[in-house]
Amino acid sequence: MSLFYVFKKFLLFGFFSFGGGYTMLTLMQEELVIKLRWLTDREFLLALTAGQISPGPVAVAGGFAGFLLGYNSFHTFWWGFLFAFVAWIATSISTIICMSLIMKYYDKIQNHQSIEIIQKLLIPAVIGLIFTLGARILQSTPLSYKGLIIFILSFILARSEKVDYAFIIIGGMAVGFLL
Amino acid sequence: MPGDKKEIGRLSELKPTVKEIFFLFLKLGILGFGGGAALISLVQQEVVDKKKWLSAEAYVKGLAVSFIPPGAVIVNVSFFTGSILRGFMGGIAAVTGIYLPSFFIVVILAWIYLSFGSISLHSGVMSGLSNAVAGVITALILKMSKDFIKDKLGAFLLIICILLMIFFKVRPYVLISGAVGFGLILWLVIKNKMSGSVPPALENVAVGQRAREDMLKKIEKEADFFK
Repeated sequence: MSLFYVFKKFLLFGFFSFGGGYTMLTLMQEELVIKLRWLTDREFLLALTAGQISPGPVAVAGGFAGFLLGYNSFHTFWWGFLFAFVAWIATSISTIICMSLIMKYYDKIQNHQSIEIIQKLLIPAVIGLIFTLGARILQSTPLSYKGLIIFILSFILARSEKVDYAFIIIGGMAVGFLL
Repeated sequence: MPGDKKEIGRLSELKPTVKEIFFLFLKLGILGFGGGAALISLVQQEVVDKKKWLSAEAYVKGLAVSFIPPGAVIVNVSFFTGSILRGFMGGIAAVTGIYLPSFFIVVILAWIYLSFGSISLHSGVMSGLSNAVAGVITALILKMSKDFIKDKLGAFLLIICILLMIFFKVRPYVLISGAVGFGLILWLVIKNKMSGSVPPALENVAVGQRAREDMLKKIEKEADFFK
């Protein structure tokens, strides 16, 4: 796969990720795992995890995915690094262009009726997308009692909003290892 | 220059250099575990409360517009903060700073995984991981629904979106484009209607109000009768 093709894919992820990092992750799962089969479910899950447990934005999971793509094609660290870098830049371009435009036309855009209407429609779409992200992850996991317990516990902890998502995920791995 | 816009809010006299912006966001990129909401308030603490580069009002305004464009909200806010202070290069510095630490961490994690992980990650760890991630995502979905879906129409649309994706295999790109496109059409329709003399929606509200007042009067009369 060529570097330019990867750049184009990730550029689109950036421009369609309304609602933030998790929308971008859903697009990556859809394109890279389900449609193109460049990544396995397991590799994608690890990319998501890396994005969540590292500090900073979750969207950086794209860097992990990019690294795997580069490494799988050329089998050296630096090709992996280059692909990761390109993936990162490509997903950031939408922010730079859209935010520059918004700030330039700030007084026109602020409280504009069309944006309110579009957001009303986009919010359910985005939540629906994230639903399919979670559903696919569960679907690709073999069912087990231990798994169910970990699922319920992490749901309760995340719902309480007292524990950081990163610790819940690391805790889930540790419990899975011990049980 | 976006920084010149008065509408966005009052700026403090302290104007950091591009280098200072980069290093502050680099620090936030290292400290900001968890992403999302935690990081947004962390940026606010540093930029507004400690450094006093932006007024709280300006930051909140930036945050409000950062939900509009695609991309991670925190990255959008960072770009906003950087570019309001030092123009385009300030924005680039902020985005680079907040991303850079996690970018290197993620690359190192990917390298470790490819070197050793494929052998050592046994099935228990993977099962624990995927179930924990699914649990977190379920909680996230509930939180987002609770925060952003305020009315029955929103709930209805959410169910429609999920059904479209599961049963009609509507692809994410199509769904997002559809939401944006349909929203634009709806706006055009409403705008055209509003340009007429009396907006029909408002007329209905007025009728509804009159009906309610009549009803109240009737009830009062009946109450009087029973006294």
